[in-house]
Amino acid sequence: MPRYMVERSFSEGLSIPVTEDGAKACLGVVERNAEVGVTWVHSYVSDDKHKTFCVYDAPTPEAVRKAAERTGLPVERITSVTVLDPYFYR
Amino acid sequence: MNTPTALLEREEQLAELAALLAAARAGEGSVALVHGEAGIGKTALLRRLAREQATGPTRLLWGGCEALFTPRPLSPLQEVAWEHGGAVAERLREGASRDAIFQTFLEDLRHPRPPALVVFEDVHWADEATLDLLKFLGRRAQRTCALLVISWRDDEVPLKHPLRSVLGDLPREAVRRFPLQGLSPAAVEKLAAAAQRPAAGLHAATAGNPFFVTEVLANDAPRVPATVRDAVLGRVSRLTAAARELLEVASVMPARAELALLAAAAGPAFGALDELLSAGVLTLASDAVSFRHELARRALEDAVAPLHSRALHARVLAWLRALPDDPAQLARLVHHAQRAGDGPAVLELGARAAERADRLGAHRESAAHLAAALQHAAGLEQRGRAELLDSLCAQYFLVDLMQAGLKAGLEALALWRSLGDRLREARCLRRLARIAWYMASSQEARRYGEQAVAALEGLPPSPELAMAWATRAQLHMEAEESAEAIAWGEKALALARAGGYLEALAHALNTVGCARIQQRDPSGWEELEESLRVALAGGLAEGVGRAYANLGEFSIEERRYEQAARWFDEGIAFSEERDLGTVGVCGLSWRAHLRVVTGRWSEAAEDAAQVSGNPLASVLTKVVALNALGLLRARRGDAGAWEALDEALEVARRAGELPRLVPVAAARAELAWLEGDLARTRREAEAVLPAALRSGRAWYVGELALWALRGGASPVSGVPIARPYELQLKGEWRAASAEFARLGSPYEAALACFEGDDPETLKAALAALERMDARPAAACLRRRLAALGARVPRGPQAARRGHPFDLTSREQEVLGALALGLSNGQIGERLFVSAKTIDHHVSSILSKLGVPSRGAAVAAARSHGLLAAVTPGTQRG
Repeated sequence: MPRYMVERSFSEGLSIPVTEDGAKACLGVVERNAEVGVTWVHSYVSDDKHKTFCVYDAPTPEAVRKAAERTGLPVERITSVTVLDPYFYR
Repeated sequence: MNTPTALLEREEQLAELAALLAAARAGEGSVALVHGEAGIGKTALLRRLAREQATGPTRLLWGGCEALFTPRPLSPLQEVAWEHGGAVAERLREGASRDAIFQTFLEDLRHPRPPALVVFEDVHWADEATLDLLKFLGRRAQRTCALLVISWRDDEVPLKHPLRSVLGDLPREAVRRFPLQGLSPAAVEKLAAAAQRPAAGLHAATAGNPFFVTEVLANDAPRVPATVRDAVLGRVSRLTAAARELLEVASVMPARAELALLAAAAGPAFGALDELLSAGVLTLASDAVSFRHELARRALEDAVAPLHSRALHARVLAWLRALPDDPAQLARLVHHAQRAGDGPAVLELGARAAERADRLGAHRESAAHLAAALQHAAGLEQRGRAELLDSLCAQYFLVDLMQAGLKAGLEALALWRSLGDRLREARCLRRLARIAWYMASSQEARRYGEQAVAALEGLPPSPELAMAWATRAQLHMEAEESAEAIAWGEKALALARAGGYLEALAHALNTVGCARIQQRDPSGWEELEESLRVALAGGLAEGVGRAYANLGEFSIEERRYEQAARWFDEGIAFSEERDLGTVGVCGLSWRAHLRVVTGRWSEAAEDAAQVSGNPLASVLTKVVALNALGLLRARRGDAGAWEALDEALEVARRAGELPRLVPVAAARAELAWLEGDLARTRREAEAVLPAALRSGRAWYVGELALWALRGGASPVSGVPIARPYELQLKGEWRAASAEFARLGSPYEAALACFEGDDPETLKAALAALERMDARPAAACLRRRLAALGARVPRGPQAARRGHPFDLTSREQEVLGALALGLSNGQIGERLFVSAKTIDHHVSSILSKLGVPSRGAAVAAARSHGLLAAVTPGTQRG
């Protein structure tokens, strides 16, 4: 399955508290992604919490968009990516 | 085992299925998909559901598919009809058309007297007509009083299995999936304990498959057997000799063995039936026995010695042939004839089975029967062989297997030629021409078309001749040679009108209409619409499909978007009603394109995904959807745009026709421009511009000339150019933009403003692009604004704050909870009210925000900056 880097912007900042609510919010996203065959691998969040870089496994970029519509998350850019491991070249 | 086996770890599925059935009773039907590997307990689950639920006020309609070489058309429905009789049985008996049969069954399910639990088992073996029935029912399930349960084995459904496309087509909101998993180690231990056997290693060896587990536990051997096959054979080996013999006989009959047949085929061994029934290997229902587990039947069938197996199949065949003729049994007869190695029987029965399958719309099965018959046709005279090959070619064409169709058609052609039958030769050549066209080899198509006309030279006028002329006209039209197309088309029209040949009339009207539109003669539209009326009145499905496709395509070309949408919607609905694959796919592809250019992007993605996910769609229809997908990705800035457009270009080049080449070239030029590569923009546009200029088609010329200009070429002039492009090429960008907006293409309207240098207009265009989420174009425009020294707005979400939607404070709280992905129940718990109250709040929020779903509400709230203020946890006092 192709891997994508999904960039999102949150003008008001992103707040997912490290509580049960936060866990539920994340699991809710995971569940609704799964309904369209999309897997959220993990994300990097900018320090000001205005931008996230999310790694996704999905069949197509359209599936990523559809998942985003369901979860109400904004999408800025979807780039197809592969892993580069700097230590592989030793 | 006669006592019901304990059903472990299926309580949730049972409860959910029961709830769906309750909703069906109340008039809201649905489809349940139950799937998993062989032996996982699908049948056991469904039988339990039937036993607990299908009592009193609920009817149980149960039908299965069989593992025949070539499945029997509509076998599950036949089975249902066989048991329940009624209107459907009557329709089947009188050989009604497939549509009539489907419609009757649907009406039956709409009736709440009493509501129905319909189970179609093992649909991985379903014939094409049954798959069509599932699609037909699935789409309409919500308006019935029935729960339709479909079960299949995952391990029998590879990626390209036709069932996949049926499943993909079912309306998501009507469908619930029940993937069945193996039992947990705890459940396996429980079963082992009940059988007083050690559980060690059992879960690992069986992966929790309930059938494997029960079989292994029913086995007295102290160790877990290596394979289940050994388990089955081992269990059988402990039966009496007569029982083993009877079981061997029964194993060659897939699905069901009538008692009388079993008695005839098994002879004295039949006396052992009770032993098998009480051992629970076979089960008895309505005068027929079946294996409790299909797995067991297959294990046994595989173990029968080859020569003995032939003899058994021959016995079954003889018995079935002695019955009064029943067309519903044909597929079964062919199966046994094949396994018995009885060539003449396969030949005779295969041809008849193929004909019946064709009538029922099971074209795939029809082709399989014909192919089987042809294997034994060595001794057949030429005409007979040619007939079989011709039918085979026609079936392959209908199901879009063009390569195989070409091969069969060429063989048939050689035979017709050596027989000197010129009418049949011409008909065969016409079909070859269509096949070659769908395979994107237009040169070949033209050669076949010319040969078809030549073959009929000197013969008296016939419908065949009118069609041959009409086909030549069509090939010219598709190659943009409109004058020749009209000349051949009018010849065909005159002959068709004089002879009353409806098919040729609809066909030629369509072609002549298209050719006139190509020549910018608006009277062509009337001929096109007349061709649709003739085809509809004459029930000519292919003609109707072609009329809708061309009406829609030309409407798109001339930017008559509303009209195009109407034609495509009508065409798609028509094809869905009749399950005409090619027409539907073609309509969906073009509608995807239409939705991209009119800015309805999510819907465009749905259409395109439906086409590209359909393994059976032909190359030529797919290219349109691929191009739409590429353009959509380009405009949204998503990955994979070049990949889609490269593939589209390759096919479009092979076909060599402007209606495919121009949109691909324009999309590629646009993508290069969005990426800032102006040289490439010009190159991509100029690759096709000369051909567009030669054709003189004003819209094609305009679109490509504009991209070439944006890539740095000098503007084209002195030729007819469609209005908005003509304005733009002359530098009148304001008027061009207004014209694009009027035509319903907001994206092109915004791009038109790029030529201007008035910051206020540019900012308005930027806002429009950002509303569409057209990020790459918006980024280009921002750079342009910055270059002009204008103050650029910060970002799409920068604008307003507050509560422009007039939400109550409670609704704001609920909206915040929605953003956390909480369910109504969870929100209710938190706010100390019932889930139902929350439901009301959610509906009210959706209507105030004017959005269709919870997700969309959260998105809207976020983009209007409502969310941070109301998210629980960050709430300010």
